[in-house]
Amino acid sequence: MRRAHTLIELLIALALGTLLAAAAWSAVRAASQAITVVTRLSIQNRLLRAGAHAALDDLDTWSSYDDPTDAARQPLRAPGEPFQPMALPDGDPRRWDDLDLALDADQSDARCWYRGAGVISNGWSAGSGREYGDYALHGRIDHPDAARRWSARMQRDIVDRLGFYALFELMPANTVFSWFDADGFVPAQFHATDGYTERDRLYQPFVWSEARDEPRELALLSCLSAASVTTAATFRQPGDDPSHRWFSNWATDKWRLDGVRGCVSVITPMPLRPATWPALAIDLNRWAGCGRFWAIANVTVVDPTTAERISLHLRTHTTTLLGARRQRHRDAGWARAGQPTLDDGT
Amino acid sequence: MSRSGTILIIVAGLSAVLAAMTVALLARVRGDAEESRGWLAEVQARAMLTAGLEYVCETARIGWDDPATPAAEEAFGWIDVRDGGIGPRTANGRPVRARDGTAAFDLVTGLGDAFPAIGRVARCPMRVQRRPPWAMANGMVVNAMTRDPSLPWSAIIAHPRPDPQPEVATWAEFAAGDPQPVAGTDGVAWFRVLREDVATFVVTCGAGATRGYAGWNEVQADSAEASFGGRDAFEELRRDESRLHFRCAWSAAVGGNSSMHYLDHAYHLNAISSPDAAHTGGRSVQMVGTIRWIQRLMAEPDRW
Repeated sequence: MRRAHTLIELLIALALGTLLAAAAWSAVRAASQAITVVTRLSIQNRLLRAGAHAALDDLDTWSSYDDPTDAARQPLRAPGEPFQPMALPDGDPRRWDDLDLALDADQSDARCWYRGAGVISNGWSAGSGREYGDYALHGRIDHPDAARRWSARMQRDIVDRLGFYALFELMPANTVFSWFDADGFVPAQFHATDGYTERDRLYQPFVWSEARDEPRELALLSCLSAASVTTAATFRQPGDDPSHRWFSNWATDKWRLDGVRGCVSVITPMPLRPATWPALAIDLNRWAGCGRFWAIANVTVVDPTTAERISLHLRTHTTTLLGARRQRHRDAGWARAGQPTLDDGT
Repeated sequence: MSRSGTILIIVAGLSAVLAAMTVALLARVRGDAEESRGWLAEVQARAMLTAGLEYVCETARIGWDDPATPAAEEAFGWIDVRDGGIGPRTANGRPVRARDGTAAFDLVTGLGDAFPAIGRVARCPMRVQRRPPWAMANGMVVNAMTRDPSLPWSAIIAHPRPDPQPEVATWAEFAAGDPQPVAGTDGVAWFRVLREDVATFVVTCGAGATRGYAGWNEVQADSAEASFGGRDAFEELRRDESRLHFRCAWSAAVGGNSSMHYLDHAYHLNAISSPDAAHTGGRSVQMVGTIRWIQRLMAEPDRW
């Protein structure tokens, strides 16, 4: 028969047992917490990767701007917007079928030669005459020689049909943005104005004075200014017409240059996620300004429990506006090889 | 006896819980690592897009030197800026030479047996060289002013050591570089360029070890079977790699050089007969043309 435990033995055994149990519990709890943290970090990382993939995919396809598979999500196909189809049937007033208006002019082609576009302005120096000669004879919007009217008509009609951003992308990179109208003068949109961001004013005043209306390439025309492609509601209020408007460093309202950051197209993945899960937000931003073209995506993951915020800022070579137009079928959906696109018919 | 059994069960249970958590953790870490590898491949492939677009631009003008001639041949664009003909052609109007030394293409049709003929491909496996040709040294060279008033000014402010300095001491090494690949950078990424039309290209960017071969038949045509250890191994590499396809168009037009013809220093209107030479010269930013547009291809094209 075994001897019974004494009280001291029992107390010591209980104490040791409690210690062991506490240590074991601590170990399990620490391991569990570590795994919870790792799992959460892993979810954050997966969200970040998924967001980056989605952002790059959208940069490649412009789907958040114009979804070719959903007619309800094509706000930029209206007249004057960058995704307006050019392949329209005969009789449609928006049809662009002027034979002068081919997009692909090589640099040896007389259409691309220098024509002194806007070299004598009638804006700031209005009424001062043509002290350097009448350059409208060299090229103007209604010149009888097709080569001498090409640039003027391209500029006018691309702005009219597709907006500023499209103009800068579709015209040759060395284009001097100005032209002579039928009256031999530079049109009003190149004149100095009081409003830096007036609609349909292609001219942007340079830093030192608004009384400067020299013709310029994109590099100087967009100095501290930007033209955007946007579906953002903030910039689509009645009368806004954002495809024909500058964001300018000298504006004081929402059209200030830094406002272009708000011209984002937003993707909202996982709309039904539980509130405690990390939140993923993606925004895309496209604009021509400060001398170059910008295609930007921001991917942000926010942890609601810790308020920790991780952001990934992406800039990459990707599909341009003209490339995106070529991706889209003329009628609906994506265009396969050989099928008509938004640009066929130009 | 029963007490020992209880302890064993408790310990075994705790161990099982810890083991399960560990396995789950390892599985998740492994999954993360695989996903990260995929993401890394995507980024690598996109870096190759930049390289491919630069290749299209630069080969419009340079890279066609014929070693058989003393001249350093240059070309005048994929669409020749002098007459709109099919390029790239040299100053004398002849097509540039392909890598095998033959005339690259027919002047009228643009067709030929090798890139840059229309319909032909340039395959460009990439690696980081230990030292590229003409490599400059990092770091600033100090030319301290001499504190000896007896010296002439020309000696006091002279910069006897040019800045920057070449990475190596001899001209021959400087010109040749060290083309050996940095470890771990060979067989990682590539791009290839199909000249689809006169100035339209399909740029395929890859992150993987196929070195840009589109298929085993190309490997065989290039007698490169030994690089892959057989067709099955090559096909496995193909399955594992990331590929992105883009179509793009080139233009000779270059921005940033013309505006200053209109301006003087006060930003007043200026006659084009007296261009602002100083500003214009400073703005001659590049001479290899512009990528007019880029289109991500939604599916693998028939030819790439």
